[in-house]
Amino acid sequence: MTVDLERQLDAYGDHLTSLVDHVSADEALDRAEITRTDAAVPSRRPRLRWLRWAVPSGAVVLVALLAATLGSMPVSNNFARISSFLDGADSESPVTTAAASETTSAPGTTADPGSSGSPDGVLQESTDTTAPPPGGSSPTANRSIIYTADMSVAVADVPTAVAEATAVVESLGGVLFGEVTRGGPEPTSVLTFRVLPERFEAALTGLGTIGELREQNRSADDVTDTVVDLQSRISTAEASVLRLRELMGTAGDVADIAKVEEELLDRETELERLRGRLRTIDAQVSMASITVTLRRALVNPDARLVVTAYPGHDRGASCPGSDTVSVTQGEDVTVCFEVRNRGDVAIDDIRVSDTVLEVETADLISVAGDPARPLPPGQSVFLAAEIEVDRELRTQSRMSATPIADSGDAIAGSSISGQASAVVMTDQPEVQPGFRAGLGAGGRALRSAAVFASLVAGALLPFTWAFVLVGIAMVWRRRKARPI
Amino acid sequence: MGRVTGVTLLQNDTRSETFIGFVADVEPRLHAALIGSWGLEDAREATAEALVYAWEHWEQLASMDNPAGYLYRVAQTRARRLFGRRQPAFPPPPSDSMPWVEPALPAALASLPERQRVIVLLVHSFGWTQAEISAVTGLSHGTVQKHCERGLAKLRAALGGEA
Repeated sequence: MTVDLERQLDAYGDHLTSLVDHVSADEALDRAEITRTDAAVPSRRPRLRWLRWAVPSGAVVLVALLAATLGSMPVSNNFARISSFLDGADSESPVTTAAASETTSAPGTTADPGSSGSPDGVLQESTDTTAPPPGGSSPTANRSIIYTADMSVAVADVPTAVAEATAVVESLGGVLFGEVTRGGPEPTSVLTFRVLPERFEAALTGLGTIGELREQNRSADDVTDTVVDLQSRISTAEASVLRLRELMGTAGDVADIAKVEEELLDRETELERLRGRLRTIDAQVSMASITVTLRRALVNPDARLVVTAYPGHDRGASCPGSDTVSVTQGEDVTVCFEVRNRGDVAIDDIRVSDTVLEVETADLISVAGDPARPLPPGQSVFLAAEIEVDRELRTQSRMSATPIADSGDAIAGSSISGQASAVVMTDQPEVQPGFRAGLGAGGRALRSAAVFASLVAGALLPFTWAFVLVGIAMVWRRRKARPI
Repeated sequence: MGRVTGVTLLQNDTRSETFIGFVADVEPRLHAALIGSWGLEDAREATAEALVYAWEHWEQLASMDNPAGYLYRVAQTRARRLFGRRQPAFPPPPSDSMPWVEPALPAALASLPERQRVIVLLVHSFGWTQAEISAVTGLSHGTVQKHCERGLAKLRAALGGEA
């Protein structure tokens, strides 16, 4: 050991420092650009991250499953009893309580997200900044302007419209840059085109004729200032690089050369960065971009079920009745079902059923109209069921129907359903539950809640080890991730 | 869609200007601190990864008291993901300009435990103060001192044994 270890380390450190190839800000920026634009490379981030939501959501699903199973078990009878008790407790005057409740829905076909709030066929056009693009040699000729447009077009058939749109743009010398097509109940296709700025207006007009133009936004961003600025900065940088190169020829000292070279490298990278940015802008200026969203023109099927009742049996001749009816126990009652087509297309395959009366479409009397035939918009079909009342009841009726197009085919992916109820009361209302009965019901409610809680706990107990394992894994991972 | 306006470009500009300043300030420290853990080449990669992270999380980082320390941790986790637990490689000392440096020094350094190696290098080779080391690595004053002494003793033993 001739030389002190500290001195050796110091000298070795100098050697290492001389070998260090520093990471410049530009390199970091370039890398960031690459990782951001290169979508094909999946990010390394999501590894165990899914655990963070998977564990709680798994637990929620488990509990939901349990609740669903329990719901179909006798416990639910208790709940039903409790709720009926609660219903009865606050009903001072029986007639006012019950009213027919009814909801209708036509999933997936009602709203058009593209033209939110605007009535069909109304064209919304907003022009952001300057006037539409040039016809050729207008004053905008030597300005740098980025033209963009977004439009939404409703069409009868999306795939053919895609072909048409592509043909229109290609005939104008444009290119299809991207396409995102989605099938399912609401087929849509989003197309991205690039066209020459001179053809921008023609392309918009052409695309608008493919179907019904719902929305169109176009904008023109004047980037002339940016371009001029970039150009001047580039020429400055070029001049400075040239100067430095000359300087390098005259520099004698090694240290001077190194210094100049370092400076030169900095300037050159800066120059490249500026040039790259200018290229990006030039590319955007030279081609205008149009984004077209093609949607199927939407119809609005809707139907409504109304359930009423009246005393007596006359094969439905007195339909409709009222939504609440009071009769003496054992009397005959007729329940009427009205399905009204409130949409703008015909509906077919109308089915009505009731879980309380235990009737299906086939069991019902056709009073007016035929549920098996298509029902045109605005018309109704009446059905009736004749029953004998032995207790108070609230019907639970459901309706479903299929909207059909003019051709007679069902409109794919759309169906209508609705539910409604009517109330039949008996004249001798059941005795109001007294304190004793109330106490009993409360006790039962408490007991069933306890049963539910213990079942949930019991179901989760066998999985305790899993939670513990996950916990350990997380702690371990965090420890491992801690630096040195 | 890429709708680049003059305004966003301008914002990006000032942002990248401050970023360049930030890199000039932080990069040398970060880089040096990582050499001890990962060796020359991998340390460069880890530094670059951390700087990319810094750019992508610029707002978050700008509000931090000690962004260098945070980036050091980012670099460590990223490097661990990229390289696993790899033995760092150190270049041999140049025999012509400093012949009195033991040729076995790099190997002896590589055989040290990671913390000791990092600290010995930072203290004795790069000449950092203990406060600087604490700021970047997040280790306490006492820990730095302890690891430095132990690392040096181990190095001495390793080199003395061979000599």
